[in-house]
This record gives sequence, structure tokens and C-alpha cells, in this order.
Amino acid sequence: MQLSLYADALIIIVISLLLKKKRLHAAEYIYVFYILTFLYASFISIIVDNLELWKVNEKPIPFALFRLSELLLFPLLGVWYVELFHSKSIKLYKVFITVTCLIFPVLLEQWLIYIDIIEYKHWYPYFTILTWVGFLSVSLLVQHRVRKQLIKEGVVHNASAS
Amino acid sequence: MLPLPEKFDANEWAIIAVFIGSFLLLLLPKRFPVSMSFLLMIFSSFTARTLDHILAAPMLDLYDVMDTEKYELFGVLTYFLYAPFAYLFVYFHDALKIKHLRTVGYIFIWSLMALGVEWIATKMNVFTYKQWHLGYSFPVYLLIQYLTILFFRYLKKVYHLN
Repeated sequence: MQLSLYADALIIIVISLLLKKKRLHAAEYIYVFYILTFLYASFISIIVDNLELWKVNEKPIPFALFRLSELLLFPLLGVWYVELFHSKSIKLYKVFITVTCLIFPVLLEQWLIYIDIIEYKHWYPYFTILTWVGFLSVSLLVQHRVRKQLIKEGVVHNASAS
Repeated sequence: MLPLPEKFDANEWAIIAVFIGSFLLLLLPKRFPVSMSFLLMIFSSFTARTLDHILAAPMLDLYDVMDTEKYELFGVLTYFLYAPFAYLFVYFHDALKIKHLRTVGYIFIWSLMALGVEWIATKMNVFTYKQWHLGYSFPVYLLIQYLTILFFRYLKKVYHLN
């Protein structure tokens, strides 16, 4: 029951992320998604396989849900962050979005622990926050660099994404 | 975090050689916007990383990339080696104006070449098969190369190159 609830939530979150009205160029989203997926999958390989800081449930259904979260949900969070970050130009709003996007992965991980998909070995929630500071920064940097390039190439004309 | 090679031998040299050889791509006349070329290259690295993460990581563990079961530094570099091949694949597909059913033949020939490169890579211990077989890779290449062409067509649309 808990697993199917998580699967439902995962699918609903992914669909809403995909269907949300887009304000950036498609290339910006794709760049952020591919790079974050690559980085997040590498991060998981390092902490699960190399350092054994997390233990992942090896039963087929929990493992499949973990892989889906890792390869789809978490990278899409970075894409959504970029989208929301540029949706308004008010500074306080940007801070709010950043804090929310830092807390969200921690909550998701707690849910994964609760339903026995992962288990922390030598890991603490604030490590997750620190890691996501990195991922969110990379997302913004990649989007910013890609937008500059797209303007240079004449694909988009508006320098500000906000 | 990312282990260094146990022994600096053929597989590491192979990766360095292809990495340096990739710079020959710069000699080709420019065909697409830079951001689009990079996106095509990142697509192949992203796909390879995602598939290896699913198939080679513990749980399925069908093969190893480089010397050990761990995610190694040179293992990370292998993913960048797919990029020049993907670029050449799309470059010639566009330059030779391959359309309709001829695309099937083009994908078939490139999948055979990819199989050849993978065979050389296994001989140089870049990949060590456990429950995998070279023949299994062929349908994967067929599918991934078709997806690459679909992705290229999508990019042409969003870059207004049609």
C-alpha cells in the first residue's frame, strides 16, 4: 500500500512537471535535465556503490521505484526549480523557491526511508541539503550558460528568462 | 569517492586515445548551432550513463565498466566517448540527406560499427561481461540510434532549422 502510494505520487509529480506551462526554451530544459540526470546517477553510484552510505532495498518493486525516482523525479526537480526560479523577478520569491527546493529532496528521502526503499548508513539529512545546494546551483548555471549561447545563436531574443 | 585505475593499462589508454581523437571533430565544417551539437553529444552520454546505471550497477550487474564493480574515474570518462560518435552519426545523416526507409539501412550500418567498437572495447577490458553478450547490444544500438534521430528531428524543430 505504502509503495503504491509512493508510485502514484511519483507519477503525478512527474506528469505535473512535464505538463506545466513552460517559459524557457526547450533546449534549456533538456540541458538541465540531461546534466542533472548524469550528475545525480553518478552521485547515487558514489554514495550507494562506492561509499555504501545508503543501502537500497533490492526487492524488485522498491528497487524499480528507487531507480524511477533517481532517474526521473530528482532530475526533474532541478528542471522545475529553474522554471519556478525564473517565473517571478521578486527576490523573496526566489529565496522561498530555493529553500522549498532544498527541503523537498530531504522530505522525499524521508518518505523513501519510511517505506523501506532506502536506508541511511552514515548519512544525515543535512548532507542531502548540501548536495542539493550543488545540484540547484549547477541547474541555474547550466540554464544561464545555455540561454547566453541561444541568444548568441539568435534562437532566443530575450536576455532575461524572468 | 571515484577510485583510480588499479592498473593503468589498455582500457585507460584506449579512453585517452579516443578522447584526444575526438578533437578531430573540430576539423569538420560546422553544420548545426554549437548549443545543438553539444545537446546531441550530451544526449548520447546521458543515454549511455542511464543504461549502464541500470544494467551494470549492483542488482542486475550484467557487466562491469573498467576494472572493478565500483564507479571509477575512468568509468566516468567513458561516457564522454559516446559523444563524438553520436555527433558523427547525426552529422552524416543530415549531410547525406538520408530519409525514409534509407534511415533504417543507415541505422543498421552504424549499429554494426558500434558493435565493432564495443567488441574492441571488450578486448581492451573497457567492458567485462558477466551475464551480458555482445549480441544483446545490437538491438540496444538500433533503438538508441533511432531515438537519436528522433531527438535530432525534434531539435531541428525547436531550433527552427526545418
